[in-house]
Amino acid sequence: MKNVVRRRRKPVEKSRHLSTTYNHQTMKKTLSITFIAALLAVGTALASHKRVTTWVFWEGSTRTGIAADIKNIYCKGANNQVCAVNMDNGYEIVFRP
Amino acid sequence: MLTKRLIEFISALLVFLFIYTSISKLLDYTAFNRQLSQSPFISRYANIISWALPLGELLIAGLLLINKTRLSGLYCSFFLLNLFTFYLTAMLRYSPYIPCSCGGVLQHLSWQAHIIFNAAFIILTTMGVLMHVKKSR
Repeated sequence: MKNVVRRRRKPVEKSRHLSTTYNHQTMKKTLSITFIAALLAVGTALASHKRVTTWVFWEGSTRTGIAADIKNIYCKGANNQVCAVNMDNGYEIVFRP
Repeated sequence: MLTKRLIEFISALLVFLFIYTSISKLLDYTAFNRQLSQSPFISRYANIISWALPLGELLIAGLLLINKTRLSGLYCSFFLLNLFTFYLTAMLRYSPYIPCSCGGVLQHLSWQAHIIFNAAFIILTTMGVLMHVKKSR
């Protein structure tokens, strides 16, 4: 017969409690207001990033600017005809009336 | 408790400001470098400053994020904000032309508005430093 020696289990309550407290403290530190501000700043900076690109206009001229500015300055109005095409990718199109 | 919260709030505002502006500068690096090159006082150092400034801002934000280094972060913020305000004032007074070399939405501010904006942040940072020093005693 094998001589099986069973070890006594350690009381788990205390360690569980400690681990919960540790997790709670870590979460509190991680989710501090400064960390939230940092995350928000990264998100805002990336979201508000506007790429300035070169656009070829329907009459052949080229201008540089962000898509919103091209639309508002040169192609304002309904979207019926092609007004400008993004030179960098060729598929981003701004329309004109 | 209130002091601690206020320090955290001020640090959070500074972290937001520094991370937002630094990332905006790095995303539009070419434009930022060009604008710095046009600046009459610092055109010679444009290449170094265009990297050092956003990285320095990120470093200060990092210092502000950690409790142990928060006071150093506040001191560095105070120094950087004062330096920038000094540069803006010098540009407004002595430069023949004034190109904007700021990041994100801040580039839409006029230079005068920028000085007021900086002054507000300098006051906040000073408050943060004073409260932190008082708390540490």
